[in-house]
This record gives sequence, structure tokens and C-alpha cells, in this order.
Amino acid sequence: MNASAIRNIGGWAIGVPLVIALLGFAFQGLASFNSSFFFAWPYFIEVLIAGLLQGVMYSLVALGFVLIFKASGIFNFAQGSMVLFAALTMVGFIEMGLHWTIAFAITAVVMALVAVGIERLVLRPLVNQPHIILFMSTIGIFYFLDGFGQTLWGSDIKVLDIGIPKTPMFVGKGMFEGGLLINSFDLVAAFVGAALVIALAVFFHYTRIGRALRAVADDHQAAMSIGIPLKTIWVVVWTAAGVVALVAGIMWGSKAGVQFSLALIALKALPVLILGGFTSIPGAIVGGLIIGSSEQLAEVFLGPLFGGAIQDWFAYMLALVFLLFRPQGLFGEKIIERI
Amino acid sequence: MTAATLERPAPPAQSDASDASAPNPRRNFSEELLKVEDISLSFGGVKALTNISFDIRKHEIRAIIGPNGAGKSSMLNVINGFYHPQVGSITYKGQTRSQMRPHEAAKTGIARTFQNIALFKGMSTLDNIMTGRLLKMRKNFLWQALYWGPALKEELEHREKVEEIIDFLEIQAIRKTPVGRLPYGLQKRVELGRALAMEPDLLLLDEPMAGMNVEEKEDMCRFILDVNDEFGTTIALIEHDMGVVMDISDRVVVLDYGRLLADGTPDEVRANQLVIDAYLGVSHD
Amino acid sequence: MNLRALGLAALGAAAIATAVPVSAADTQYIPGLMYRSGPYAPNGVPFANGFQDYYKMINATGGINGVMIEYEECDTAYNNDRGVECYERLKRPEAAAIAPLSTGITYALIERATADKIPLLSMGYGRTAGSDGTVFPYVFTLPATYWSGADIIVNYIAEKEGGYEALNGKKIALVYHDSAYGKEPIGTLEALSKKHGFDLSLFPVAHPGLEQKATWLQIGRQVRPDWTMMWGWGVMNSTAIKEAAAVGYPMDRFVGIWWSGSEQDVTPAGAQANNYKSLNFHGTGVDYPAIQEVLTKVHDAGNGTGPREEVGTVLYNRGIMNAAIIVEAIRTAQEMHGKKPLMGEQVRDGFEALNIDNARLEAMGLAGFMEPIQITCADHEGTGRAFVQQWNGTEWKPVSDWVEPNRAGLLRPMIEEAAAQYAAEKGITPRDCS
Repeated sequence: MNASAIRNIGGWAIGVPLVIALLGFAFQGLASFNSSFFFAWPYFIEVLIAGLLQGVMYSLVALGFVLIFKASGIFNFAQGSMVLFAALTMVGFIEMGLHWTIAFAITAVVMALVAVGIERLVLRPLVNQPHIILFMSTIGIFYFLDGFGQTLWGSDIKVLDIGIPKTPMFVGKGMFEGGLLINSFDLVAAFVGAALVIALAVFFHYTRIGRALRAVADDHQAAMSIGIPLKTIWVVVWTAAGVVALVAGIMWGSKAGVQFSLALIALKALPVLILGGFTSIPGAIVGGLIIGSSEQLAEVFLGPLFGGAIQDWFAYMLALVFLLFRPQGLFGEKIIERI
Repeated sequence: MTAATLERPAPPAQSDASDASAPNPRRNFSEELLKVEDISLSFGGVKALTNISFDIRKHEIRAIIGPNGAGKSSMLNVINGFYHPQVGSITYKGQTRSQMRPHEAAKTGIARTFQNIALFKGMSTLDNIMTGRLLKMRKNFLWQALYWGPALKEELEHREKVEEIIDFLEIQAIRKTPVGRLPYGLQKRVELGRALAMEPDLLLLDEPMAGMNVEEKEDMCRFILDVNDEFGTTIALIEHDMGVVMDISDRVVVLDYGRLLADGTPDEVRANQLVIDAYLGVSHD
Repeated sequence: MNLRALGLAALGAAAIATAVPVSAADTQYIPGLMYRSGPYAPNGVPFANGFQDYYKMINATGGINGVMIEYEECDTAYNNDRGVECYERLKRPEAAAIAPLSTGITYALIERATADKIPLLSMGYGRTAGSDGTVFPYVFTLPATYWSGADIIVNYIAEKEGGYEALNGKKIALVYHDSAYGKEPIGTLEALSKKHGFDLSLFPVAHPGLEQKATWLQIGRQVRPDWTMMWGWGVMNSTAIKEAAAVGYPMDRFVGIWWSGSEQDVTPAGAQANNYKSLNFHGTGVDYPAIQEVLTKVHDAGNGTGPREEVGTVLYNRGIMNAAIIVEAIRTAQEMHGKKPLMGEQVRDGFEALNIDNARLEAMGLAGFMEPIQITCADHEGTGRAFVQQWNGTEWKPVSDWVEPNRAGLLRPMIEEAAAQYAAEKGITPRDCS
């Protein structure tokens, strides 16, 4: 570990609490000026925690995008429908009477088959085509998976329950009146998200596939010429993205029911990606945390100023501001272009 | 000089620089490394190559020349498996097959560079050349995760090899520079470095000197000859600059409109009436 | 998505073409703006199926006085632009009525339908001011509007708290779909809050409503209202119930409008949804002769539009009710204009003369299913009654009698004021209905 890395970590360790505290004081100030605003420190922390946990849920979706972007340099429009398709498939197997762990395993295999199918039928014929062509093809995949999944399993709203506890928890009752509310479901989701990220990071950072991935993303031809098996890489990456979609689908599906709307949460991943960088796995996580917490704080403490329901556009606005100052995102690779 | 008759009519001045370099002693090669037979390749009805047959022998420098659109790059792409010919066979290291696959080509010792440089733009020179070692890395996953023991040793070995190549190509000064920032000539050199890092038996160079100035061309010629001499690497190259081709190559294949026009030593090719006609007949550029 | 909608519409059209083998010249044409795709499909599909099955049942039992129904459907995906497109595609002068199943689409179609002389039936949704027949001759809002719904919920809360006086100082929150639909009751609630002295807090939720964490943190941890109402639709409903449970909000103090009270809304939340309440204005289950007839004449004949199990669910039955009202309007109009296929303009007269009394309900096989409805030239809403139902984990149980909103004393003047304002904006001279 070198000096700049230590400086970086130090910067984050000091910067993050500082920003949070400053935000808190800013809101507190706002509340003391205007009685229509409400502020209390325990409540602020509660919202912050809820936002961070919500952010993990966004990261789960964003991760799938990052994987495919890293491997092929394309924004996979179909990620949202992969989430829906995976969740629908898993529920379908559970409804057949299988235990959810078995259903999970089978669905993971199905997602691998989907990956093979996409590689064979869509990506292989398009090798060396401009990225925009590949992007367009993912739009096609979106509609196909969306329709195919619903044709196969029906468009009814489905219940997915794998026994994650949902009761509200209150911690630190001695410290604050009423304690701090933490949602146990979100906590479980956060752990799952963290585990997934660690697994992916290890897999892609420390295996030959990880190195190959960067090369493939940069230049297909060159990657092939140094002996990287492009097709294998694509299948591996799309499978990984499929499994990530499955996990995201389970988490979101057991929250909101498995239904068409799941395909729309992909929209939430976009600001996360802009913030964190399209090519960075840690970026997807940190981006998710920042988007999740700041949009919740904005909705709760600034929402009254705008009549509420601001969290969606707030997330995009934050992403836009970032785009102006750091187009490659927090953790993205520097964009180098010889002009 | 006789080369002048082969020059394309337009810019005859170009060849002067390379004429200055030492003429290559004609050598004799007998062992066949690669042979293409009867290759035909078409894209949706458009014929790119028709019935091409020739061979590449161990340790020689083999040039493929021809006017623009003659099918030179297609030929190279067939050899390293980017294109799959509809007809014909490729015999490489004694094994005959109807088509090559890029991954297999790389594994069995075929490396290449591209006409329009294909480097990993975000990575440094060092990292780019390091990717050439990818296939040679054995230890991975947990070993690398721990960055310890055999993996560390292996990594160091690869680094050593890469540093050798950097020294050889005289690009120490730009080791850490992201290649996207380098001038064109240096990028071409880095690309050569990445190919060399694969320690290839057969090196395919697609217009290694295109767009270079006189000085850069001289350097590149030197590197090609040195690679051939010192590492004993067989080289197949496509080049527009006729003077260069005639000076450094042992044997030359001439293509025109996807057909084989001539095949022989530079002197033989130079004297071939068909070749002269092809170059003088139509202004191709 | 357009391609898929087209495909579905084509499929639907093909299915109808085979299901109703009658020649176009002597059939009564009824279009349907439904949604079987998009985020709201889980709620739109059962409604659309009930709507269609009822027509199939009528055709299977001899039509409306011998006139067969020709039904055509278009998929709006609950999207306003698509809804207008669908309307333009399906509209014909002989269309009996348009039921857009979306407040946004209703708003977009009011002027068009009026110009095309096609009755616009927004049953339990849409523009409340449309209840004023003097300004909106082609708009019908029966059996109840959102303003009535808002008044009924406040009425119910007052009853539980021990009278309207007890509302003083109480906190009531409204969680609403941030669209024309969700915003519709706000004016009424603000008026009621002023009148009865309760604090009203508003919480908009952005489409489609998957994200309500911040909303419910505010409700559950900051505002802590005594009661919470919901104007939600689709996935927003089930998400709200889950997030409410996640902050420990008591379910029996959470009351939704009639579009937030179907099986689709509570089942995804599992046991957490138990004791959640909502309004409704019709019966559930299959113990009504008309619905039995749908089962025997349509489903048993292998003609059911959807799965048999959905018959009797809230939204399926609502589709039945919507179709039944249109059929009754046609029947009434036939008495005035002759027992033959009618034009939209003629069916409008039937709507305006609609009088579904208990005897008529009995004859329709829907006794006890819904309240009697009487429509006049000036009043296009009717009584506006609804009741409160509660989810017990397996089914919706009514927990109140029919509640009558305070129309005469509060809502009707507001409606007339809003309608007059609309008339002034658009340069409409109100009809004389006296």
C-alpha cells in the first residue's frame, strides 16, 4: 500500500463524517429558521442509516451494469429486465414446490444459459461492431426478456418470501428517546450486498479473468490478438451479471413483490453509475451509498420546500453535478483521449 | 536503381530513407512454419481473397504487398483467425486446419499488430506490454490474492521479461505514461512491444511503418531486423513503402484484387511484368 | 413497448373476433381502454378480464334486448399519451361509452369525447368536477368520486375517534400517487381540515412507487399521524403497506381509497398487511347470480378471458360492475331510442336517465352487490356511497355500513364551483337542467 492510497483512505475517513455532520448542522439551521422544517439528531441519523441501507439496494442493481460495462464497454439496457426475469423464474420454481435454495441454484443455471444464449445469438455476430450497435442490441434483449418472462410465468404480481425478517428493530433505546429505528430486512439486504461485492471483487480483481476483462473492455481486437478468449469472457461476465440480477431481484422482489415494476428499478442505477463510475465495482457501492443516503435526506429534510417526491430527480441532479466536475465518476478510470 | 520502376507513380521520394539502411543479406530457409493453401474468403458475395496459396518459412521475413484493397489485411486476419475463409486450409506447425481461432493462434505463438493501432488506451505502456504475458501466467486466484510466494515470484519473472522488451525498444522514458497520450510512432512501438511480450514464433505486422516520419521508420526497420536476428522470430509484414519492403524482406508475396500475383525474392518480384503492370496500370491510392 | 402492446392488442382483437361471432351491422359497439402491460398490469388485467367477461355473459344470454355486444380493447399501459392514441383508434360515433381506467387519461379525453359525442364513464376515478352535468354533459363519475371518497374516510375516522369534534388537533396524513389521480382529493381534504381542525400532511410518491422509504420514515418517525390515508395504485400500494409495517405504523389506522384495496395490494406484503383498511363500493366473492352466470356461461364454456380463480376478486368484480353499468345505460337508452344498436350520443341519454334501483339490481342478478344508482341531468355522480373493508389475511371483510358523503352540504357546492371555473376557462355555457 503506498502513500497516496493511505492519503485517500484518510481523506475519506475524515471527509465523510465531516460532510454528514455539516449536512446535519445545515438542516438544523434550516429548521431553526423555518418552523415548517423539522429536525432532530436521532431522526437525522435514522434517515441517514435508512438511506445507506437503501443505497445498498441500488448498488445491487448497479453492480450488474458495471460488470457488463467493464467487459464489453456497453451500457446493458437489459439489466432491469434481467432482474425481473431472474426473479420471475425463481418464484416460478418456488411455486413448483422447490425450496428457495434449490430454486436459487436452478435459476442461477438458467441465467447462465441466458448468458450463453445472448453471447451466441447477439454478441458473437456483433464482434468488433461499434459500441452503439451493441447497446441497441441490449434494448432488443430488454424487450425480449421482459416479454418472454411474462409469457412464461404470467404477469400477475407474485409473492417472494425467503424468510428474511421484516420487523422493525429499535437500537440504542438508552441513548435516544424511542431508540433508533433500523429495518431488519434492509440490514439483511446490506449484508447480502456486501458479501456479493466482496465475492465479485475477489473474482474479478485477483483472477486472470479480471485482467482480461479490462483488456476486453478497451479493445476487442487487441484483446483477441493477445489470446484472450473473448467469447468465454463474455459468457462468464453475463452469467455473473445474471446472478447479480438474480440477487437484486430477490431483494427487491421480496420487498415489493415480483412484478413488471422490478424492471424499472434499473433507472435508479443510472445516477449511481454516473456517480461511482461505470467501470468500478467499489464505485457502484460507494455511489449507491451516496445516492441512497443523500436522496433520503433530501426527501425528508428538503422535500417540504418543494412539495415532496423530490428524491428521484434529486438523485439525477446530484449525478449531473458530478458529471460536470468528474465525468468519469468517483472511481472510474480516467478518460484519456488524444485530441 | 531498379526499385524505382516498382514505385507507385505518385510519391517516389519516400524510398530514399530506407535505401540508406544496410541491404539485407539474402538467406536461405527451408523449414516451413506456416502454409496457406487455396484460401478463398468472401463477405456476403464480395470476394476478398481468391485461391491464395503461399508459405512462410521459419526465421524468414516475409512481406505481403499489393495496392490498397488487394486483400493484404484480410490475409493477415485469416492467419490469426479473425476471419474464417470459406475455402482452403492453413497448415501451421505441421497441423492442418480449415480455419484459425484468435485464441488458439495466440496460444500457439502467433502475435500481431494492427494497421490502426489497437492498444489498451487507458493503461500505461508497462501495463500494455504486460498484457502480452497474460497467456503465460499460470499461478492465479488465491496466490495472487495473497500476493505472496510463487505468485509473487512469477509476477516478478514476467516483469523482468517486460522490462527487457522495454529496454530493447528504447521506451524506458514512457513506461508509466498512459498510451493514449503517446505520439503515433511511439504507440506503434508499444504495440510491437506487447506482441513481443508474447514471445511469438510468428509475428504478424500490419503496416508497422504507416504514418511514420523518416527517422521513426529507420528505428522501426532496425527493431524488425533485430527481432528477427536476436530472437529468431519469423515475421510476416504488410507494408506500403516499397523501398523498405525490398530492403528488409527475404521473400515477397504480391496480391492484387484478392488474387496472388507473384511470389518470390524481392529481385524476382521486382522483375515480374504482372507486378509492374498492377502498380503502374491504375492509380490505386 | 409499442410493439408488444400492438401484439397484445392484435391477440386480444383476434380472441374477441372468435368469441363474438356476430356481424358488425347489428351489434352494439363498446370500446375498452385497458392495460395488460406496463407497471400497473397486475391491477389492470383482472379489471379488464371482468369487464370483458361480463359482455361475454350478456352475449351468451341473448344480448341487450337481442342486440349483441361487439367489444374491442386497446392497451394503454396506464400511460396518458398511449391512452389518447388508443382512444383515437377505437373511437366511433356508435361507441356506447369510453372507460379509460385512469384519471390522467380521463382528463386528457374530456374535451375529445365531448366533441365526439361519446359518453366518458370514469367509474370511481377521474375528474370530480365532471359530476356536474350542466358543464360536462358527456362525463359520468358514478357511483362515487374521489372527493366523496375523501369525505367518507374522514367521516369514518371521525366515527372511530368519537365524533367530528374529536378530530380537532388530530393529525391525518395522505400518501398519494404523484399524478392527476393522487392529487384529486387534496382540495377536499384541505377544506375538511379547515372545517374540523385536523392537521393534514401530504406525502407524494413518484411513479411507479417502489421507493417510499423516506416517505414512511417521515410518517412513522417524525409526523406520527393518528390516521393515514392512501391514494395509491399498482405496486405503490403493496410497497406502502410494507414500508408502513417496516416503521411499525398501525395497520388498522391506515385507510386506502378503493383503488388501494385489492388482493394484489395486500398479498405481496403477506401477514404484514393484516388489518389494513380500504374503501370499496361493491361486493367481493362470487355469491351473486350475475357472477354465477359469468362462471357457468363464460368460464365453464371455456370462454373466460382470464383464469377462473380471479373471478370474485376486488378488481375483477369492479370490472364486472363497470360493464354492468354500461349495459344498463344502453338498456335505458334502448327504451328511449329503440331496441337496436345505438350511437354514443343516444347512450348518453340512457346514462342521464339511469335509475338502477333495488328491483333493477335484483333483475340484473346483482342485488346487494352495489348501492342503487340514480343519475340526473345535473348530477352525474349519484349517491357517492362507499363502505370500509378490512383485510384479515385471507379476504376483505366489510367493517362499516355504507357511508354517505356530505354531498349536499360540502361537496356539491365545491363541484359546482370547480365546474363553473372550467366552463369559464373553456368558454362553455352550462346547460339548463331544470
